[in-house]
Order: sequence, then structure tokens, then C-alpha cells
Amino acid sequence: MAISKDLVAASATPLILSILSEGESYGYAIIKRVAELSGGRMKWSDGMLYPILHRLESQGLIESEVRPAENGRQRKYYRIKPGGRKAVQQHKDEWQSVLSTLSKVWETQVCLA
Amino acid sequence: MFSIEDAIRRWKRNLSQRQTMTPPDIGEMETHLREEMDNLQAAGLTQEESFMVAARRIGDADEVAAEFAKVNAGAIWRGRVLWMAAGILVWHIISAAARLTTWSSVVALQYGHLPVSSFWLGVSVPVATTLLSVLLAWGLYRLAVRSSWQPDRVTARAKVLLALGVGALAIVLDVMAGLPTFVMSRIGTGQDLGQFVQGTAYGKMPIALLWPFLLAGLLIFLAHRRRPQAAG
Repeated sequence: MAISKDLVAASATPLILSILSEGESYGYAIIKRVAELSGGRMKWSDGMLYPILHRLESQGLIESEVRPAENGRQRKYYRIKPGGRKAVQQHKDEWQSVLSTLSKVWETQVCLA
Repeated sequence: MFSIEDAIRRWKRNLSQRQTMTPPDIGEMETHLREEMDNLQAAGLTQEESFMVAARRIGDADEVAAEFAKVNAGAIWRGRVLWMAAGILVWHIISAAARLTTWSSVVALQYGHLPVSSFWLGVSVPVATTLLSVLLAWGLYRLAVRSSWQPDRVTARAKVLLALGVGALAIVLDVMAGLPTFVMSRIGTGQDLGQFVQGTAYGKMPIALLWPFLLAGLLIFLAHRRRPQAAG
């Protein structure tokens, strides 16, 4: 079951920030990590990742550095900044309260059924 | 015959034509495309197949460009203002050059007995100068595009020097274009001056007429190229 487009869009920012809080990464690896974490259910067009990364960078949540990779190509690496870590915590709180609200209403319905 | 480098170049040009992505943005996506292609080829796809799958996964150029437009709004406007300023400067230089050659040739006609009438001289010199300068400017631009010249690799210092150089050229040409009038008003008799003013009046007409047509032509040309049907 693929996840709906709206939900994918809404979760993109917290997901990217959370992946970067695991350590420095670059575009292609982030896409791979998302596919791995979601079991391929979060369908992004890969190109959409970059505008989001650039926006997070201009907001000062992450920083980037271009340097040659082991395969000789110029890669742009992204690293999370303290502001980004704070944003991750905020996203976590928000998503957890959404999740717990949904869980509660679904549990009630199961009991009634 | 499929050439992978040609295909990637077309793909990049297709993105850059949307004008919302900077060269570094496109470079970053190209690295992504090539890494995806490497992985797909390691999984057994041919070069051509891997390109098609990787390009498809990156997504529709219009959608990606629209997202970049939101992030790059400031840079896009800076780019537009830059081109506008460059256009005004080039226009200034070319019209100063046209005035310089026309006014000088009018003076030359008065003292040098050239085998043309002041009317034909006044019409042909500014038209020829303007068209040649436009061709020259276009040629220089094409040369810069064709060579490996990349704006993002040019240092800030070189850009400032280039801007100052072009600005200085505009000022020098403008001053030089005023010289024939100045010289005539100092050394010419009343009759000479009258002839000179008549000759330059012929020259002003084509300069005034030519620009609207050149600019309208440019607009029509650009309107046709606005939405390119480039192969992904």
C-alpha cells in the first residue's frame, strides 16, 4: 500500500531532518534511506528532494559542503545544525500527538465494535 | 546511435531552460542521475535503459522546476535584473557606437568629398554599425555559451572587473560619440555646422527606427523559444 501524496509531502521535512540527524549525508543516499525505511511505500520523485534540502539550508536548519566523493564525483553533503535538531524534536512532538489522537479514537471504535 | 553524454547534456539543458535552477542545482541533480545510473547498470541494465529509468525517477522537469522556483525566488529575480541591466548597457554601447561612426562619417563627408550623399551616408552608417554590433554581441554570447565558460566558476573579482570594463567602454564610447559635435562647434563655420546638423539628423532617424524593430524581433524570437519541447 503506497502512502498518499499529501501525507508524503507533509512528512518529507521531518523525515529528511531525522535522517540527517543520524549523520551527514547526500541527496542520493537520503533517497535510498527513505526507500529502505518505508519499505518502498513512500514514493518521491527524486528531484523533489533537492528543493526541500535547499529550503532547509536557507532556513539555517542544515548546512552543506561540496567535496569530491570516493568515486571522484563532486558531491554535496548535508549536515544538521543545532536549529535542525530542535526542529526534529518539535516535529516529533507534533507527529506523536497526531498518532496518539488517532490511536485513541481507533481504540475506542474497536471497543465499541 | 545512443550517446550517453549527449543524452545527459540534453537532460540538463531541458532543466536549465526552465530558468528556475542555478547551475550548481543542476550539477547536484546530475551527480544524483549518474549515481543512480551506476547502480542500475550494476543491476544489469544497459547504459541507455539506466539513463531512462534514472531520469524518470528524478521526475517531471516542470514539477521539479516549480519547486525550485519557490526556493530560488530571490536568485531568479537577481538573475532577471542582471540580464535587464546587461541589456540596457549593451543597448547603450551599441547606440553610442552608431552615433560615433555616423557623426564621424558626416564630418568626413564634409571635409573629404566622399562619393555619397549626406542622406545615404546618414542612413547606411548607423544601420550598418548597429547590425554589425548586434551580430558581434550575439557572436560573443554564443562563443561564451559554446566554450566551457560557466558563470558559476567565474570568480567574483572577475565579474566585478568585467562589469567595470563594460561600463567604462560605454562611457568612453559615449564621450567619443560627442566629440564630432564638439569639434564642429569649435572649428566649423556657421554653414559647416548647419550641414553637420542636417547630416546627423538623417542619422538619428534610422537609429530611432531600428531599435523598436530589433527589440520586437527579439521578443518574437524569445516567445517562440519559451516552451521548448526537449526530449527528457
